[in-house]
Amino acid sequence: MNEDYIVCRCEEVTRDEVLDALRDGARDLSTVKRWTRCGMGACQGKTCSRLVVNLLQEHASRDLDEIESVSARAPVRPLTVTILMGDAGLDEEDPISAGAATLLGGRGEERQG
Amino acid sequence: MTRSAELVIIGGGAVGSSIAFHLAEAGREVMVVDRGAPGAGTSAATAAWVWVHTKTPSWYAALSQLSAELYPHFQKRLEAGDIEYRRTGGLQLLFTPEEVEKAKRLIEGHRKEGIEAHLLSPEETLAREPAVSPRILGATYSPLDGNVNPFRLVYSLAKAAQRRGAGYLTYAPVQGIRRERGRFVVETRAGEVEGRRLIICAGPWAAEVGRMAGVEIPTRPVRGQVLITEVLAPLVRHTIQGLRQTLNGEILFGFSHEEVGFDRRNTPKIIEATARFGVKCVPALAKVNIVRCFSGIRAMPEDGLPILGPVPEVPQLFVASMHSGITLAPLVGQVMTELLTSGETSVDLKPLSITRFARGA
Repeated sequence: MNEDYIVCRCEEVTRDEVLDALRDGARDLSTVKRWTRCGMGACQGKTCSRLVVNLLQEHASRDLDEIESVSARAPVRPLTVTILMGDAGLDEEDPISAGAATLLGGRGEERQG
Repeated sequence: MTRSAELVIIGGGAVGSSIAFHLAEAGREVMVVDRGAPGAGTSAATAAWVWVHTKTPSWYAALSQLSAELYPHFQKRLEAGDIEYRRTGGLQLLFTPEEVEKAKRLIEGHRKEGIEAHLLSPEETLAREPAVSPRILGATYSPLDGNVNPFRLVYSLAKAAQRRGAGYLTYAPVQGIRRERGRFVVETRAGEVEGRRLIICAGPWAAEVGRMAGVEIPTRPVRGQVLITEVLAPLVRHTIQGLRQTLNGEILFGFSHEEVGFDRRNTPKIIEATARFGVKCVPALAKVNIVRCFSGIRAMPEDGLPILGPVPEVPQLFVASMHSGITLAPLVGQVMTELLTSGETSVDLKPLSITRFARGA
């Protein structure tokens, strides 16, 4: 019987795909995420993380207590760019360019991308 | 158990894995040591532009162009399906008269090096990329720029290197390096690896690893914060300096540089500034949802330019340390393999040598 099932609903990643990543040497949640996209979708791993933790325990011999969680990042739920912009207008001094200029000793124009 | 190989590479990201792939393809015995899994550090925490046309000085842009031009063939040699390299063309949006003047000088300098770049009027820019802000005063454009999927790139590189015989020791942070009978012994949390030659490809950790091997590598960690949107219908076609859309529809944008050590947090101030930056470039982003932010810790050599080649004061030690590892991965893999197999390189490595930092004693 086929025991495959969807682990990550957002990115439609199956258990077999996660197991492939474990066979390729992934031993932590972040690596499974990078290799399969599991947890990279709209819910940011709220659904699949526990399932992947279980698979890491069962198939990669990881101790449950030692499995690092994926770093939590803002925003906790999707927010529009407008909300994240805060109150400042588009023409206000831009700490991105200003910051880069100082950091590189005034050579901000030479940021290398 | 001590593992052994002729060549030991510290760091299995885009740079280290590309060198491993090329060396293994040339039939050399190579072992890669990584603190996590390949891509756990810098190589996957990036918007992954393959970027050429705004780089300075022009000879550095020319070097980047060489690497960008290798990408299509490189992708085929990995035999890994699609790593999503796309030569989308690149745009740098210009918002002030000063930026326009600077862009003119940039393009003039590049023309002398034979690097294709154009100054576009606002109308020409909007005709190419209708989603950008009508408030721009113009843009620089080059067909040479593009982007790649960094997860697929690093994973495929590591796989391809392994298929050709390279060994990988993962989840093995380096704790020390010693010399024994002329060989390097790399001490890691997962055991020791010894080899005749050592190549440091440790990204932002280059300085730390370098000190263990007896060399001062002037590379510092720099944080870049990026916002990621929900999946959208195709909105931007080009790789815009600071903003690009992935094949599956997310837009990644951000252009911040901060020196905060290895702190990978995101901060409200930069999130806000990045959100404003995005809307300033592409107004339609205002209504779009952000699902995630991330921070990448990038390597920044002291003068911004790659450090590549042998370390004269430590025989058989080599360094590959650079900011634009994704752009340069194909070229660096090739050139370092030339250096390590025949000693002669197709690119002059002199301007990239670590010796340029030699402090007057």
